[in-house]
Amino acid sequence: MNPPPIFELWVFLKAKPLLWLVLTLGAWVLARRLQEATGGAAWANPVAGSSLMLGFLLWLTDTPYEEFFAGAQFVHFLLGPATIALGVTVIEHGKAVRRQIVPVAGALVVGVLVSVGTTWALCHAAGLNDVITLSLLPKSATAPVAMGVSEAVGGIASISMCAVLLTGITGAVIVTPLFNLFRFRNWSARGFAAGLTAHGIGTARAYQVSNEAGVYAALALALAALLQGILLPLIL
Amino acid sequence: MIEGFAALLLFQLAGEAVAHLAHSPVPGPIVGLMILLAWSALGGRLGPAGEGVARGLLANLGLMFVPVASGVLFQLRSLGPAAWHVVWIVVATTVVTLVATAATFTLLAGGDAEKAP
Repeated sequence: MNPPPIFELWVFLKAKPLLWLVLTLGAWVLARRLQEATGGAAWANPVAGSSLMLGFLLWLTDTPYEEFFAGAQFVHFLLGPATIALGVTVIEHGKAVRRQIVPVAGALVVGVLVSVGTTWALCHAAGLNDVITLSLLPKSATAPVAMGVSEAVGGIASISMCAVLLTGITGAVIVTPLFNLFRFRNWSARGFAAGLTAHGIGTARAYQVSNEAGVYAALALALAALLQGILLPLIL
Repeated sequence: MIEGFAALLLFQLAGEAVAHLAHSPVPGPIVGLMILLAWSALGGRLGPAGEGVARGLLANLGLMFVPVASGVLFQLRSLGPAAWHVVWIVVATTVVTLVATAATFTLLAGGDAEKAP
């Protein structure tokens, strides 16, 4: 007996990268709409929303992650040119950034040291093994840097990736209510902290809130990636 | 649009090449970003096409994390009991880093000079 046509069509399409590419874009568009419907609420973060939808779909259809990634990789590839694109906003606001050189340099060094230092201390307090600890240390760096650093110091890239994404999503979701609670009103400071701590996902959130915050977030993302990319392999 | 996209990819390619030749621990795209900043400091320009594509990419920056983020739950499950430690450590250090960074910046910038819109 032949399988029902809809099942046969699913098996046919499931093996094509196109299906997973379309579903990735579709989940993103849907997650963005949902966030708009909440009036731009931070907790309705579209990265978290669309990833949960896709993760659930993979689990439901028993699809191996590799099969999904064969389609999603076309989106993943854009991380590279998007990193270059960050430079464009930094250049556009070059004058304003140069005026703030002291707070930028100070917050960069303090932020990176606090991120790496507290992560190291808490991993030891929790009794995590060295491989997991080393994988978590670069978690505030942007994805490609964190993976490169992790492998260079003896961590596991996929664990780092996981920590990087959790950091980014956590940061993007809590940054607005957290800074309102602390009454931080300096928009450059808020953006810089979001980009330094929560890399690209925090930067995406910062751009949603204000263009000025976005520019400083992009700057922090680039500088923090550079500092951690050079510093961590040297000290570990 | 294609011209602008090619310009961005050219800087990324240059970054990958330099990173490879210098055995740099800093990944290629970040080196490419630095090359773009240096190029601009020397008076070079990316051109309106490149700037347009850059703005389009940045407006959808979050999308580019979705392919890998979709696999996070699978990865967490493979960590077993350590997964809970990873989650609370990530949340705690993220809060501390955000506050420390914003506080340092605000302090050095001389307070809340710029008001939120």
